Amino acid sequence: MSGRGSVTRKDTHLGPTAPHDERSDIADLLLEVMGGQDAGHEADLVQLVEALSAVLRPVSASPMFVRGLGQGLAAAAAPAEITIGRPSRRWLWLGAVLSGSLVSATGVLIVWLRRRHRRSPLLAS
Amino acid sequence: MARAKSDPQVFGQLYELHVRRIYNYVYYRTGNHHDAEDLTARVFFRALEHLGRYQERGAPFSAWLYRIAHNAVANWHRDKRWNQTVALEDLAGQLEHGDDPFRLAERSEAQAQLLRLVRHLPPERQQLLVLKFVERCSNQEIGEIMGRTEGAIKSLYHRTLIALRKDLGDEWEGISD
Repeated sequence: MSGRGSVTRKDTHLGPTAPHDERSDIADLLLEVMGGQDAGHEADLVQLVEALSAVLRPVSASPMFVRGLGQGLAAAAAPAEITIGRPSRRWLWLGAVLSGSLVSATGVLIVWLRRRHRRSPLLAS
Repeated sequence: MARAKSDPQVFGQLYELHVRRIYNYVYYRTGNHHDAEDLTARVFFRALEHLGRYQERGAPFSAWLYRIAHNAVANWHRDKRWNQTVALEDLAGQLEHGDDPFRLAERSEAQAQLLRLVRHLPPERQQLLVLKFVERCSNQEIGEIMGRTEGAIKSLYHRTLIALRKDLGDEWEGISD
C-alpha cells in the first residue's frame, strides 16, 4: 500500500484529453476520501478517469441542424416582439365578457320588473 | 440577459454560444444524433418560450439551459421507456457524423463496455460524467447546474468512479492496458 503521494503523473497517464482540472481533482478526491488508505485503488481510478476521457469526447452537431434551428428560433422569436400588446388584448376579452354579463343581468332584471309590473294590477284588484 | 427577453437577436447570440454544448449533453444522454437534434431543438424553443421566467440569481444562463435539457431528457426516457440494453453497435450504425465516440469505442470492446456501463448509471451520475468529461465543466459549474454544492459533486464523482470500477470487474484489465 502506498502513501498519500502515490498519485503521481507517472501513475495517471493522463493525456491532453483529460478535463482541465481532472488531475488535481482526482488526486484531491482520493486523498480526501480515502485518506491514503486502500491506495491500490488510486491508480485504478486514475486509469478509469483516463479511459473515461478517451470515451466521453465531444461530438459535433450537424452544421445544417445548427443553422436550421437558429433560423427556426429567429422566426419564432420575431412574433414575440409583436405580442407585447397581448396583455391589452386580454383586457379586451375580459371587458367583453363583463359587458356581456352585465347585459344579461340587465335583461333578466327588466324581464323580472315587467312581470312584476303586470302582476301588480291583478293583485290590486 | 434582460435584453435577450426583448431582443430576439440577443437570444440568437446566446443560442450560438450554447447550442453545441447542449447538443453534446443531450447526445450522450440519448445515444443517437436523431434524438439529440430533436431534444436540442425542444430545449431552445422551451427556453425561448420561458425566457421571461429566467431570473439571474447567481446561477449562469447555461445552468438554466442544462436544467431544461435535463428535464427534456428525463421526459424523453419516460416516454420512450428507453431500453438501456440497446447495443451500442446498433446505435453506432445510425450515426453519421465524424469524430464519433461510439465508433471509436467499436475498436475496443472494453471501451464499449465502459460506455455501456456509463449508460446504465443512474441519470444524475450520467449527467455528472457528461458534464465533467464531455463539457469539461468544473465542479463548481456542475454544482450550479445540478443544484448541489461543490463538495457534494466531488463526493458523487468519487462514488461514481468507485461504482464504475466495481461494475467493470474483470473487463478492467482490457481498459487499463
